[in-house]
Amino acid sequence: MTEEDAFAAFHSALDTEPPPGAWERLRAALAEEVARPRRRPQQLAWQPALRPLAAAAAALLIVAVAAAAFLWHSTTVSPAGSGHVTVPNRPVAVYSSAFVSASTGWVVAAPAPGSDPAVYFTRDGGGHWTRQVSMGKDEVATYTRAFDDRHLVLVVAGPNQARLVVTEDGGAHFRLSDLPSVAPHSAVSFLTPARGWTVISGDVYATNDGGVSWRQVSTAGVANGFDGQEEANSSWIEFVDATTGFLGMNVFQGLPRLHVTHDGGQTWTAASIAYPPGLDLVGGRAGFGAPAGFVDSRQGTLPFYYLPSQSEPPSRARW
Amino acid sequence: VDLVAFEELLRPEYRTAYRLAYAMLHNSSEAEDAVQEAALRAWRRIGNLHEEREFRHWFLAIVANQCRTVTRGRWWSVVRLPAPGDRMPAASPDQTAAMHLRSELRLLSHDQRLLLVLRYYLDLPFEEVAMTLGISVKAARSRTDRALARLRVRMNRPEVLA
Repeated sequence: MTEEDAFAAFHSALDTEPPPGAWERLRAALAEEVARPRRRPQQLAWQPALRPLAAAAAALLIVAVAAAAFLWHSTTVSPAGSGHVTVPNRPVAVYSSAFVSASTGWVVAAPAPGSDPAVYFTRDGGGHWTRQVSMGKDEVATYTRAFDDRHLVLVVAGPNQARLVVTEDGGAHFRLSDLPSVAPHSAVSFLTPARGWTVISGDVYATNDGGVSWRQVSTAGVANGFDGQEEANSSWIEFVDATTGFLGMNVFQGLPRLHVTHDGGQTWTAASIAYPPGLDLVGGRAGFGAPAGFVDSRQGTLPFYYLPSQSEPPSRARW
Repeated sequence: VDLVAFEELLRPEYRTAYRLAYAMLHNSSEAEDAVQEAALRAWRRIGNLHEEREFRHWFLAIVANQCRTVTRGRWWSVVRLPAPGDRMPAASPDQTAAMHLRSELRLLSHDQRLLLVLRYYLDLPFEEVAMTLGISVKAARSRTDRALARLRVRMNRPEVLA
């Protein structure tokens, strides 16, 4: 980008005008400020006497804030076996984890049974953990992906809505973005901290700015290999590179469907899967049991479950 | 300076101030609020202004500081998107490039973003950039060059999407 290009690019990307009525609203705020009664001299007269008291109160406040910050940051948990870590004398449930090396990574865990889950970060292989952000009691992390020691992408699903939670500075700050739906369910796949896809009701959306904005790249339809029988709220999506991705969907009565794209999600075709013969799908149920794990466009695992009776399938709440 | 005189000073700069706030915050409501708060602060401190001809740069500096405050206070930033029923049309190449620039701009530091916005979006000459930031013209020029180089590196990273 040359300096000349920069002028054009900035104007193209940012050009905007004040919204209608903004100047009038500002004038009204100024008028209100002017009309606000000012403090009278006699009120100011006794203020110096209060200064020592105010200074003491401020000092106490600083000490209290420092103590709270120390206690907050000193919350550490220690490993106590695979899948669980403990704070002293208290078990901690780990819901998901994302590590970028043997020493550095994040977990989503609850510090005590029944307590609100939170995002914890470690740089020493789990020797010490720093709590970075708390989640609501009814929220679960349905997607956790770390790219390096600064970039973490989470999908936090609550009772009514799933949202994207992203940090780009190792957890010093977190950004919360809406997904292109208010549904509690969402399936996402991020290749980089910026580039990702999500599938909602069979519609596929893509982002190239870390979820700040999404654009629809394809819609469910016969032309794309969908026939309307798919259970759109129990789907998953996984991209192995910029063009090739897989979209799994369970079916109300039938075998789950796998669709493949080779153009970044714009068009999808149904993939052929050799399921075991003789499955009773009238009384039983079959489906993809968990998000798939594709190594590349040719290799991967596709967990599959089949329940011959009317018993409920495994929970898919965290798909 | 009475209110009428203050508004006369403020009005010609309002559009520039709003565009500065929008470029720094990427949100029209927050930009309007930031400019309004900056205007109230400017009104309360108008006695600190020595020369009326310095108002433009003095006020833009207050707006920039207010934007910094808003950004710092943004522990979460919620991005509102169209309702699920609203179909979003596919982005054109120009829209994609603009989105890419906005995205990369957001990842720069506040000071670097401010330099680039003052220079390349508000089209201020380096002399005015320097006056707004309270630095020398030479420093404004070199810091802007560095910020643009950093942005250029970020923009030219290999694309993941074809």
